[in-house]
Amino acid sequence: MKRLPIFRSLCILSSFGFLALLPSLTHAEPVFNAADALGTSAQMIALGQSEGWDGSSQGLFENPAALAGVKDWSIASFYTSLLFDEVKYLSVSAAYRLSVGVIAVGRLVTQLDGLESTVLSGVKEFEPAGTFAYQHAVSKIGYQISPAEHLHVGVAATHIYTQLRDVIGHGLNLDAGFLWEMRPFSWSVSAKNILPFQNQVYSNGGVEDLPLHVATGLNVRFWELEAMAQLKTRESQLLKSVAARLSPSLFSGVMSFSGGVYEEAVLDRKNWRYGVGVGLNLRGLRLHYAYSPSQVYSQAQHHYFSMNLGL
Amino acid sequence: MKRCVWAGVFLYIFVSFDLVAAGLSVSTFSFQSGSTRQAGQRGSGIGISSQSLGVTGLHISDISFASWSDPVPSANSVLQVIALPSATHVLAPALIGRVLNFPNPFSFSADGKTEIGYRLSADMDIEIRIYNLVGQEMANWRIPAGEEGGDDRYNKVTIDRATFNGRALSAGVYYYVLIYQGQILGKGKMMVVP
Repeated sequence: MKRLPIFRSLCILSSFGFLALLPSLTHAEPVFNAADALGTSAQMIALGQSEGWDGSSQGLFENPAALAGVKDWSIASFYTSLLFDEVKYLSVSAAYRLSVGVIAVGRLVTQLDGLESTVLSGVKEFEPAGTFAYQHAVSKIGYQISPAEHLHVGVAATHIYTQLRDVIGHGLNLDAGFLWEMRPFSWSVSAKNILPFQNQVYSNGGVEDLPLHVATGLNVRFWELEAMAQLKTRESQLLKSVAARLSPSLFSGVMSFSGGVYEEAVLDRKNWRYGVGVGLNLRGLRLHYAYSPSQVYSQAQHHYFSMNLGL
Repeated sequence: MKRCVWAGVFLYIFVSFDLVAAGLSVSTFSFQSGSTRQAGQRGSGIGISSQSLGVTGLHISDISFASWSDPVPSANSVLQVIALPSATHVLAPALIGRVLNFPNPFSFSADGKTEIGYRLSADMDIEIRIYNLVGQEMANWRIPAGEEGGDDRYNKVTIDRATFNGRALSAGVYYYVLIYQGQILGKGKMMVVP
């Protein structure tokens, strides 16, 4: 396979990445409500939503180019329950290295039962009249190759399914990204929903935009410390995040500590939030724990766990 | 036994009572065959107990029916009982019954809206917070005691684009939480369809 010159590849990809930031800052409402706003792994939450550095199969949800970190194979999972433990949130993924490149599949599901439909009673008050469910599922299949020694690119096809009682929604789109690694630097650019005219279409005739989300970040390693800075677009806003990960030699690379602060877009507002966590690497089995304070009243904190296994 | 005509499907029964425990409830139960009363008649003995009202610790001393007319209910008609305080009693602040929104699901298209409905036992300062499914707070506002939403009766609070600074929420599920003096009074889930 003929390898592209690194410099030319970087110019093309970075131009794509930064130009993509511009249209992603404007879109018509309503836009589709992406369920991955929480993060797709405990590690990502612990790094202040900094994405694109997960070298496991879970990288499929962040930047498909990050699948370059998969040596032979990888499986990963992330589960949590939110909002009074009623909302179930699960992501699973798997990746396998082929003779050329890495292929990966993943699915992220958010599920909630027990929603109540209501009727107006004879005294003009509201009464329950049955229950229904909500489900939101994002399925991805991705492929990553490395056209140059330090350059990795990846694409992922996305199918989005939404069940809103008896209204069913489907959407298709593409993600793309690249990762440039030359120690001590790594540079990640990813764009989600890059096809502009693909919407989430519902069975009741409703349509929602699938908004373009672009994230670009720089990772620098100093001795036992990694520092990360990232810009991303969400809800028509440019969001910043910084994070650090420490892997003390004292623990022989088995344990790492992470922390990050990040901006979060909610409608027209921005909030600063943070996450911290710890990771364990036990001969291919990686366990991550993250803590991030909850905004939900009376639920002071949230704990997240994820794991991945790979060789 | 003399057959009587009841007020539609639902009747108000006004109950004055001695309050032993804080809080009341809205309850539904089936008529017992033969439980009949004349219009305007007052008195106990209809077979409604504090247990059938879904509350304990209340002594029902008097019951009256507000009004009734056609249609005639069957022996198993469902009656909604709403216990209301008499003028001589002061109730502890509480949510009576449940908080629900109507319609559910609803759409923001064509100026669509939903209303959150709940009954309060007394005038109360209420705070309402709305969250999306990943726990991000979408809106937060306070309702002073005595205003719609904080009144000692059945309240209806409108949720529309104005709630979110003119923006429509994306399709999905959102939680609403009612808070009084730092305590969650009730919560519910509303679904937005496109």
